[in-house]
Amino acid sequence: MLQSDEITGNLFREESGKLLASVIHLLGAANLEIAEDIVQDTMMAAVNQWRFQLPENPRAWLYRVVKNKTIDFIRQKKKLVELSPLLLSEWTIGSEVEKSFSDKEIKDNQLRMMFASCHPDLAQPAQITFMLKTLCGLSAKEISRVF
Amino acid sequence: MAEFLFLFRGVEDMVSQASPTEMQQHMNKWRVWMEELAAKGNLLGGQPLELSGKVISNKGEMVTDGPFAEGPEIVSGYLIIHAAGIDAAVELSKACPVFEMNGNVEVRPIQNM
Repeated sequence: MLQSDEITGNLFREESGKLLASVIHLLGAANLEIAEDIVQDTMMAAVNQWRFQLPENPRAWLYRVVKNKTIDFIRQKKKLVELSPLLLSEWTIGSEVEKSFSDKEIKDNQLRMMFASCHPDLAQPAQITFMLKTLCGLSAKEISRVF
Repeated sequence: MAEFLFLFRGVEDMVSQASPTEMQQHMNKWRVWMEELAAKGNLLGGQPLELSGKVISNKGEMVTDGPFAEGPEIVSGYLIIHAAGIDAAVELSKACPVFEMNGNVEVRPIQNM
């Protein structure tokens, strides 16, 4: 049942920021909370399942689960939120979601989030806090050491 | 020697507030604990449980969404443990990482009379 591996390094922290950037890109900044819930639910499912058994490819597992949760959300809530037409059609939703999680798109999505984080309505400390939390995956305690 | 069921409850609230790094560390602690149980021959099996499900009642006529319990009382997983007796099983459970997140363990002897 168990392999003798732990997850070393910063997998959760690094990937949570990338995943969030991609989900926000798909659902739009107005749906930030939903995007955060999707990523957080995925990480919680990872903790729940991986404590018993690690997947062969943990990174791929995270991406697959986030993509599926995003697609489920879009299918269930499409009437309630504003989404691109490509996401509303069953013909194109799969490839659109897939595209948003490619390595190149992830980098672009992170950049987009950085620019969006620098919203003029936010005071600079708030901008930095937001970036540290959502893009960099730092905890409240870690962030408080910055200020 | 006897067999016991360990039922884990109550971690979701705290885990959902944890940072990604804290979640990863918490998950690793579980793996280390379970590997120790396996190495000592106490671990017979176990599985994580999804937090969704169904409850069927009223002679099968009522089907409601979700587990039987609410929030912190939902069972998130179980282990089947081999131990000398209930006291030994309880001792084994005390090192469980569930307590870091304010969860709890229910230890139930598997009936074998």
